Amino acid sequence: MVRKVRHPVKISDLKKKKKEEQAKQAEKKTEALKEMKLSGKLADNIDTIRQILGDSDDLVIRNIILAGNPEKKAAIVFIDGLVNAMLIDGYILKSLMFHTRQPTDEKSDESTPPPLIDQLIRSGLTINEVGQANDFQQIIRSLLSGDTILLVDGEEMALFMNTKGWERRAVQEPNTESVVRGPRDGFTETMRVNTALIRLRLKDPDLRVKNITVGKRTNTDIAIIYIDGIVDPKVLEAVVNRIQSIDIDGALESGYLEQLIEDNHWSPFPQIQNTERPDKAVANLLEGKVVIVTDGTPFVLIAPAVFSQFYHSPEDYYERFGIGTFIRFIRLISMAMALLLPSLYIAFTSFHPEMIPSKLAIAMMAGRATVPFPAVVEAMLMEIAVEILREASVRLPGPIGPTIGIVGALIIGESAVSAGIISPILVIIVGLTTLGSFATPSYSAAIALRMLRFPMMLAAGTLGLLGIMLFLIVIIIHLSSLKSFGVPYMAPISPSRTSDLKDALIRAPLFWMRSRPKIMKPRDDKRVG
Amino acid sequence: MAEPGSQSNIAQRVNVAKEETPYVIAPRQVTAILSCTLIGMGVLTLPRIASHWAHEAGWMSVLLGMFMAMFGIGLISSLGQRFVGQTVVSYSRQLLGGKTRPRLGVVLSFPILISLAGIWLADTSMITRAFSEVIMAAVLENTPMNVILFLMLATAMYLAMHEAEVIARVNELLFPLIVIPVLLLTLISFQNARWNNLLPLFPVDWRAFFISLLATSVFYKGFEMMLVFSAFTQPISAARRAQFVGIGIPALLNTLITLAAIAVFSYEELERLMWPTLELATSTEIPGLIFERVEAAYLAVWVAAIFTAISNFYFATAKILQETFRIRHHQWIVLGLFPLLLWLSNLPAHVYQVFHWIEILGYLSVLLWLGFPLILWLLAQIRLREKNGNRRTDHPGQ
Repeated sequence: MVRKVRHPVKISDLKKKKKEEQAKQAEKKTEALKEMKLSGKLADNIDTIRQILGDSDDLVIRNIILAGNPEKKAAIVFIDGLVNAMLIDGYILKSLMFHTRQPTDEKSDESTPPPLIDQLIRSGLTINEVGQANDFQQIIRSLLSGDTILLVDGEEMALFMNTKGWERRAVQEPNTESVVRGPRDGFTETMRVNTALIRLRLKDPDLRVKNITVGKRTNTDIAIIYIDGIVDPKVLEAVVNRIQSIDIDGALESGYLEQLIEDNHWSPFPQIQNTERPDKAVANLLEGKVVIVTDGTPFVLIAPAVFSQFYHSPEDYYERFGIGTFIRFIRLISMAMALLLPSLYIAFTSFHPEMIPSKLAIAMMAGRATVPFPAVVEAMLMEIAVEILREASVRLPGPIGPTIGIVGALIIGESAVSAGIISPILVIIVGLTTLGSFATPSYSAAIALRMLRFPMMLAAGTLGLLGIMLFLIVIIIHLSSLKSFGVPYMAPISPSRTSDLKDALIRAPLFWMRSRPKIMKPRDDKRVG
Repeated sequence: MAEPGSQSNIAQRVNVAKEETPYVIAPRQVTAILSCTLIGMGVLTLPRIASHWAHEAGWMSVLLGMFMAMFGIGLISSLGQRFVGQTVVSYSRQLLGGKTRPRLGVVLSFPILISLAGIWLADTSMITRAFSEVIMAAVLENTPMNVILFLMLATAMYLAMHEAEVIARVNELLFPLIVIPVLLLTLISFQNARWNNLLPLFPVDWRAFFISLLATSVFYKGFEMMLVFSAFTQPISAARRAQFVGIGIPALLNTLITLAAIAVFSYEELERLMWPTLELATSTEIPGLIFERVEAAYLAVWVAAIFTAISNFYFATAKILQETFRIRHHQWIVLGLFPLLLWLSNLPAHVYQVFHWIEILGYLSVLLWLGFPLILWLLAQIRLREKNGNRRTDHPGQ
């Protein structure tokens, strides 16, 4: 008899089995909820709802008697705080409890009268958006979204009515992206308001709004907006597929989505743009990009994104092209300053003092005479102190914040200089660096550059100008290898397309911009006739 | 729908549907690749070599040396156009072996491919070493040589690990950053020029001029890299033109630099300068700007030129070895070659040995890029008459 050799069980197999079991259980739970249908009895349905929500105290159940059918019992269920009470009082309860319905001319050929719910929908309720369902999953979901549920004894369908009305922020000016000339409205935390703000500006029937829910527990509503006929269908497909593959319990902010669907989340540079301004979103839609609106945050995502987004602002297009070009150059210079200035200081003082003109060199050396640290340490200390200051001033409330920022910078700078810890020219350099990073219109890009200046300072401290150049080359290599939904990140600078360059570094006059940017591969690329 | 716990690679799982084009390098990027590489090769010591034999007419020999390089690149580009999407490995095997005996082609082409890879490796290490010598002499006196070598080669390795697409993009990005400062500096240095240093126009006889021509055409080496890169370019006429333009731009720049060097120093002093272009930068004053001795900044710009040259060579070597030995990813080869490159860069004992090696390598590579593509091209012509074209539309580089 041959002994059967048992194959050893691998640990990875065991882990996989455990995960599959967990997944199965979770699915069972959702399946169970889906399976549950309404029974005919009102009391049972109400009990089920109460049980699913665990007897939450903000669940309101109002038993009523329908005016047209006084023999039937009915109940209204809603969640206090999510609903607009006036709608319920004035329209639902009034129309159900007061107004008898006209007897419908039942001269129809139907042998049985239509169900009560259908009658109510057609002629009983004066509410604009109604729907019916008989499975508990949909009922609970709409209940939690602010709808009111009508349950009637003896009916197998429940009615849900749109009575959403919670406290929402008014449309205000976005404070992360303000402009001098341009619209002052910004997105809010409610998805419908945001999609409405986009629709208001883009009255194109080709504009499509597609809803998806993300997040197993939060069930956050996401709207994917695009212009059918301009957008590249492959990009759209990739966006939708990626969002649908997200398996997370809570998607609280669009940042979650951004990090999960990004091409390369290890990179410091964002490959998806975010904005609070509707006009920017609409401008990007017109170029063939896809906008993702997330409920609960005013920041919408724009995909795909390229590097030139960092120094483009919608304001460039509202003024004349000379001004737009000039401001773009200023922004590019300030980005370069934010990245390079402290490193250049370190390189020049430590490695190439011969490059500084003599008078300036004397003044600098006089300032540096009392400093006990090498230039690298000095610059690092000061930059870290400024970063701490910046973070602290974000957290401080109200009017104290900016004041502390100014006071802190001045006092710390001044006293550090007089204590002989840093040299005065470093204060200027650090100040200019901070200003430069503020001038970048995109916050995510500004952070990336702020972060990168620390390794750049180390590189400058190691090899001087050569180190700066090598690290710059490393950054360029990294940027060139990034792709955002199939679009190379450094387009249209590289791979260069001359037709797109007119909007990259400069801002060409509007009448030159006859077609949409080719890097987005739009299907309809004619802009100006 | 989704597996639990695998959220970290959604982008890898759901990627944008790729377009069916394997031609990832655009014609403009081809120009950039060629120009960046050739500028990096020649700019170090070219003026001295050019004026060594041809005296005051050195700049003319630089300009005319361009034609030899154009001839070479013409051969290589027509080979690339005929064998669309294949690198030199596959079409040299095809041409040398023939349909009946493919093994023969593998065996015959093997030593040539290995010597090609070896020369490129030696080129990479010698250029890096020469550049480190310049850096140490001019800018960073106290830094150990190995630190500079290591950091340069490490950055080149980082770039060579990526795909050809990324390399093309980086070259394209760095191209204006290299050409514009070099051009500007050369033009500015003309303010110190004494134009009678350029006379007499034809000081030497034809023999010496011809030797000078050969010597300067050595500095155009580097374009044989296109043997590998042409696998990724489209077989359109714009790509062919781009390759010639890619030789023309560095030719023009080298001519200008040599002209400036001969004009500013005379050819006698030029022969005694170790790094003539660097001295050109030192002697230049930029009036009105706030910086004075700009050679450090000039060297920083130069880093980009040298860097593109060595990383292009590095990538080409890795690609050739990848295909010869059928390894799936060239990243491993890049990693494995790194210590070899470091060791090779350390071999010469001092800078004169470096120059000596560069000279020998130059002659070897002229032999290679004149001989090898010529033979292949002739074979291709013969076989073209035998059959009717030989187009393979596989994935490039297989």
